[in-house]
Amino acid sequence: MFTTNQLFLVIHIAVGVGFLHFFAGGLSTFLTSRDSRVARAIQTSSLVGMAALAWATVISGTWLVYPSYRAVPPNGANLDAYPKEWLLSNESAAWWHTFGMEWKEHVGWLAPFLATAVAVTVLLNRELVRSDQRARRVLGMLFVTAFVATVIAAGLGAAINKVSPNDFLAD
Amino acid sequence: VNTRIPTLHELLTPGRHRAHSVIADALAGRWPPTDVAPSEFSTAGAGARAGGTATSPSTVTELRLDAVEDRAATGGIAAALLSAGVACAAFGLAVVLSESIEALGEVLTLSDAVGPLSGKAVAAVVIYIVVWAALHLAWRRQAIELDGVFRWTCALVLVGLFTTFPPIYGLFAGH
Repeated sequence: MFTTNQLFLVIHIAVGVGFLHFFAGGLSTFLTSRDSRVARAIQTSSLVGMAALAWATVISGTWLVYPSYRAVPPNGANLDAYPKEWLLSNESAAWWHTFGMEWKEHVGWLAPFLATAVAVTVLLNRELVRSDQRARRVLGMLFVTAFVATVIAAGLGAAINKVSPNDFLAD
Repeated sequence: VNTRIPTLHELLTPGRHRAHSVIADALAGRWPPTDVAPSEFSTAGAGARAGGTATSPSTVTELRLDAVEDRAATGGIAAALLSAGVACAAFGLAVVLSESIEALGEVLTLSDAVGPLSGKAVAAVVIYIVVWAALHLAWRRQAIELDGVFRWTCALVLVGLFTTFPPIYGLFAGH
């Protein structure tokens, strides 16, 4: 049904999409100080889920998908199966690697640290987060930063997949 | 006079500090507590009670236990936040150094398939875990001022964001 590389890409995209969905649930709990059993359950599941999927996203992206992107072609090989080399061989498209992929592969790695910090803080002292507006503001900022970093990485990944040929997925 | 025994939930829920003083009273042979108003089993925090007129031995015990619990929670939070900031900055620093010093880039290539990114990621995660564990052990029972922790965390995250932006680390690396 899937080739190995297709399966790796689907896993990476699936956990990334899950991460972005958990963000929506977590964000709603930072915008209000109202407390209820349901709100606590949503907050806990969203933050823990977001942290876990942030790790899954960067690990799968780095160790499952990225190696195919940056593989070095043998002499005379068709570059359509080697996205990095294809981009660098086209002057007009090289920017997608030198800026796009370089930023994507690095900025995405900030998200799991931030998402984990937010989740642990809320689990350790939910009352502080609920009652202290300053704490809620700082945690919300870190939370949104983790989300924005992931959106940048995901957007660049989608664009690079669109710009460059991805025949490597057939392997 | 209230002689109600706290429920298991009241005993175990963090923030319901009065229950902890009830435990201390019991351990000290003062059971059942005689100065407990039913409302004190509510979710009222230590700060609100500290401003009151509590003078009984039980309340003194309560305030002392409240203080211990509040400090512990603050230290754990400070450790979690600051270690995340340190990890972001460490990852950014690894990016800059890897791009600037070719030999370091080779050292950080833990996996030929992944390249230097493998070493940058592993280094940042190891630093994260070590710093978090060390800070947690050092601060778990200390009063940590969160204002400073918030500022340092935000500053370190900004360092991580700037140094992972290609034009910025390109400036350091000279390309």
